[in-house]
Amino acid sequence: MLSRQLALPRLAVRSIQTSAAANSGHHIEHWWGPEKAAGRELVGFGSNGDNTYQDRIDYWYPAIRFRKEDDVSRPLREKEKGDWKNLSLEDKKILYRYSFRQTLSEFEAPRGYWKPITAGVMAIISLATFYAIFLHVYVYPPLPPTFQNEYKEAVIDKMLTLEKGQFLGPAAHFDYEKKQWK
Amino acid sequence: MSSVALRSLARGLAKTPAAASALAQNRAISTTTPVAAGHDDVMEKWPAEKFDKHFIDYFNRPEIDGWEVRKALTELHDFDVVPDPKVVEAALRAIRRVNDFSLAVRFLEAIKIKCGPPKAREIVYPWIIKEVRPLLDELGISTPEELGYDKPELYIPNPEWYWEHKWYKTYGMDKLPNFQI
Repeated sequence: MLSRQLALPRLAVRSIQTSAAANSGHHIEHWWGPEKAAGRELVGFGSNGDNTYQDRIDYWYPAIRFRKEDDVSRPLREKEKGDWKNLSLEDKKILYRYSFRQTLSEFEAPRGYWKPITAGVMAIISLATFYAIFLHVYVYPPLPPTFQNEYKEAVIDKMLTLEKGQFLGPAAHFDYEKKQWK
Repeated sequence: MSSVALRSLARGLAKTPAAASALAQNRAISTTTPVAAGHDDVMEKWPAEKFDKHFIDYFNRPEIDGWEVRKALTELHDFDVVPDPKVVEAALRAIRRVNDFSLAVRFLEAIKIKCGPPKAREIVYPWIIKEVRPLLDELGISTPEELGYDKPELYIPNPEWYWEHKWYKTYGMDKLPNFQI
């Protein structure tokens, strides 16, 4: 490469690139917009100019129509060019549904997915609890005797006898004159 | 960034020539990054009449096409603004001229969105409809309420969240071996 640059200096200039390509990371072969649109009419810009249908509350006008033109919609499109008073209520609803997927009230309606989601979360929590119980009963060794109350009380008795913990321990709360707790 | 600097420079030039040179020197080095570069709030600060006139003039252009109507509606939707009835009328007339009935209904729904919380929607939206009612009757546009769209008509399941096997049949979706156009 270096020899070629020395032999052909004009070409060498071309081989040195000092700036990043303007469209780096964006190559046209990855753009499937028209294929995804699949023949739907492109009517606007949408949110980012891609030929995709999205119902978004911040970009309320999608880039393409929701449905392709077919034998139902074609006569209505012709009728639409005339007076809209001639359109029946059914025609108007069909026209809307060919252009858009959801109405606003459908967009805002609760979808009920909290039920399966809650069920899933509860199932995972209960499985984990049962697994912990199983481990506790069948797998782990019994707790050491230092966890028993008798052992803990014996430790405190011993500390009182040895007068350990005068500042922060049990001896600080014990009155040695009257032989009782303060 | 540069456009903001230029604009303030131009403003400074308009005021006093003497101060302008000092201003230019001060602005030459910027040590902070402007918040939301590229999204200026110039139109946010316009007086209401100028803002409305901007959109009304755009909608009233005789050569406007469907793509441009949607562009204007999207931009109008972008602002924290409930469109004035005059703007709504201009938009509806533009929509009528490009022969897109569904867009008119969609735009009336967009007004509902811009009204904000339900209480404001109950008050503001009917008022705008009342103001533009003559035009709606003249053009034969039905409000979403007249089409029955104020209540959900269809349920649209999200297959990525939850999907029952029998719904393939319910919604008339045959399982295809591969993606087909």
